[in-house]
Amino acid sequence: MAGALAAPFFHLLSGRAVGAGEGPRRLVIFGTGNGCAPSGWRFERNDPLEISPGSVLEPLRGLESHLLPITNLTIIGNQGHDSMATMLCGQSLQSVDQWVGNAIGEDTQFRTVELGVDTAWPTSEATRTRMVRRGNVLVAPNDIPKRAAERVFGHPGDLYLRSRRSSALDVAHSELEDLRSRLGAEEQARLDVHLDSVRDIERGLFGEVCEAPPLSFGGEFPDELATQLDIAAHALACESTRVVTVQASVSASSVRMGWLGHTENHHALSHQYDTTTFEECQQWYALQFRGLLDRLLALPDATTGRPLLDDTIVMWVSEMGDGRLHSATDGCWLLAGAGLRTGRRIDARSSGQNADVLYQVAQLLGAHDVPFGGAGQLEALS
Amino acid sequence: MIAILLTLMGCGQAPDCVGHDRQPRALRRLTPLEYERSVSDLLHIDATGLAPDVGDPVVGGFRNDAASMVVGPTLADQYLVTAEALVERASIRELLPCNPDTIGEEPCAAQFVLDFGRRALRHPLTRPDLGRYLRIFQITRETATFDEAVGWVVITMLQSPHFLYRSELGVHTGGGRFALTDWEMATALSYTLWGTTPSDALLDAAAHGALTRDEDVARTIDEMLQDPRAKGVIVDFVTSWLGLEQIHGVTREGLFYEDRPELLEATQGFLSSRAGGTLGELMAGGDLLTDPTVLTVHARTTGSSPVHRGLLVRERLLCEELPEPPPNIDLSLPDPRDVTTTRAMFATHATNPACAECHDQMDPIGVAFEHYDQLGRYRTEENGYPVDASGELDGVPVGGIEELAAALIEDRRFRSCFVQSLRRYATGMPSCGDEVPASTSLLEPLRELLGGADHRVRKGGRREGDTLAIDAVDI
Repeated sequence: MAGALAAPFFHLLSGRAVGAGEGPRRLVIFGTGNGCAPSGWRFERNDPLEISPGSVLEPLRGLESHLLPITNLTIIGNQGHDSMATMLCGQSLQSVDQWVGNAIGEDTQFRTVELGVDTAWPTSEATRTRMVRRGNVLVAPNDIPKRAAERVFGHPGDLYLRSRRSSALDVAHSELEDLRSRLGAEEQARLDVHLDSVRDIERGLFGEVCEAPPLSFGGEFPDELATQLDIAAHALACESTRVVTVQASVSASSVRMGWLGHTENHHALSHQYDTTTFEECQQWYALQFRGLLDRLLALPDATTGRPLLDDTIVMWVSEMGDGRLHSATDGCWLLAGAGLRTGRRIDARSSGQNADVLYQVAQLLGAHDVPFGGAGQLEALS
Repeated sequence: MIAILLTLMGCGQAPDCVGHDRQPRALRRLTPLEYERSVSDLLHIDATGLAPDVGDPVVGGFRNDAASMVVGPTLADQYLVTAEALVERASIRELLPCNPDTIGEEPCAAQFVLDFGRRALRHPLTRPDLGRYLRIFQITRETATFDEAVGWVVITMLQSPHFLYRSELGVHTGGGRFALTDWEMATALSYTLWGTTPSDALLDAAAHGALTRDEDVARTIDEMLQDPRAKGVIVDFVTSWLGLEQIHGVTREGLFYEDRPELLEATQGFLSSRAGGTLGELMAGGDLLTDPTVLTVHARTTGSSPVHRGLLVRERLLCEELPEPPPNIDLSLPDPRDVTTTRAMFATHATNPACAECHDQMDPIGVAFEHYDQLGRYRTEENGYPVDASGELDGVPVGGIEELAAALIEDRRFRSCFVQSLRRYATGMPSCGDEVPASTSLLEPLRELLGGADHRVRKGGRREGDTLAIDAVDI
């Protein structure tokens, strides 16, 4: 078993690890599509930050001291909806979560955990449905909360099942390695993702098992998103991972927020001339982001006893600015948590690119000099 | 800008399309549908709807792009738990080629590994393979029943890359050319013509060298095309080609969740009735284009859409790609209360030059569908105004769908696009298409693909040890 865990194909991409107490050491990224409704990001004051009542970020009022909104951000390589697949990569081959996971996740059960809700749209291009890229291959998030929970929290006590699975994966592992040696580079890269995935499951089978929090499964989109956010927060709390992405639906998403009384879907609303209803959608997502921060404030770090948020960078990202125009120079990303000078807004107009945000965030988390390809003009986040 | 656009569009074929004689070596991960059928056949169960499906990307219009079908963490995990669930449904005793009570447990387990292994992994097992899988049986048997231990052999085989990927790697024949082995040929024939794992008969043919000579392959193809499963492949293809699976995800006024499977089933029944015929017969009478699923998928939430329907014809049926709307264009529609008909609502596309550049390629075709609303219901009036369904296909006036279908079948772009798309679907790679007459059987391009010149040849870089060592164990 131990031998099967070794073979490090992606470790070549690793940076330096960061220990506890040296600044932020966890990353959570919440991703949504169809743009961010920039006209709805309204503020009473930029520094110290005060969010305007009725604006998209209204649900986060009161938490301003933890927040760092960035507006008028340029999303480089704008390709409309297809920027979903590049917004977290810049010009590099991997998304920022993967770079950071390689740098600080080696000693955890999962270098990164990818969660999603309603991301398996059979009709969409991959570049619209995936935001995580590992070794230049787009990776699907785990869309089924029950399965995600089983993977992250394990099957305590069921040693028989874990041993059987481990043996089965061992065979797959060695066959994959045999086969890999017969392939050209491009095909090898794809098998590497497979090998890496098998290794991930193997690690999950015998790592320290976290105690699963009480979780509810099933239900509609909001219920599933809530469960995935619970899983994300508790996985961080028990240190089974330090890097989690949660992707709520896809770009050009057809999620219809019936619970807000909407009859048209998210994508259709993003194209309406009157942005009121779309802003309601985004406000609902802001509320979910608030829920994520509340979880990270409520759960303590196992070592320090302080709230998780004290050592975590949290991001809410989307692939465009104004969804009506598919525009790329008025993006709005929300950062929160540790290691940042929060409590203010950055207006990145004409100077800041998403690649700069990625670079600085990765840098803060110990993944150094990643070639995200930004112009480096964005003011310091920290 | 217009000139650039026309260059982009005039090509009619993907610029880097791959002819069937130049296919690269590849490993192709099974699609969810192929997985579902394969495990159903292997385990003698009905696995409908049980295949892990993480939403593979649509590339070039199809959801089976060889280069982007990976096994990420989510899928790897699902393969494992799915295999466990499938084995619970299967009767292990029924799958055994022997009786453990008479010949002994371990000899029977070994026979099972070789027998089931050849079916699941699509090549004969080597001695190390046998050792690995028998070891799974042995260690499991220490704490579990015989059936459970055999069950874990099955679960293990269903994690194998030899099961999860279709191998088209071949053996090196010199000069960067590789030739598919007979086992790979059996696999290619079976998945391409029947959509599932090779039968015992086909594997026997591979074992006995009955797929080595071109004439044997050609005869096998002829036989396989007679099977109803070949028509099923055409049904699957057209379903993907026209994006009809989207019916499960679309929101349309008046479309209820529970109606969707029935709608698609009816469409597939219709396709099945035409799948054995010719390309001309498929398009006859405009029946395909007036199919309710086709019209419902290609519409807006609240009404018909000349844009989406024009795009269907332009991109899917003529294989001419249009660019995405450029950034910074206001895409919102006029307030529906201010317009009379759908046609009028989209009229601004023709009058505003910024829109017209691209929309001239879609809307004039799409308006020919205007007699059909967002659910494909026929109408002569909309909001009290008479419907005007007079359109145009690149200069050819079409007064409605029947005329549009007739114009398409006359159009060589459509006839080569059909071949190109079918090859794309069959190979999982960008493909070229040659023009064929309307009287061509729908299945003909598949025959050409698998049995034509150089059908076994794959190209690729040579690597050490690229020959699959067949040190097979006699069963």
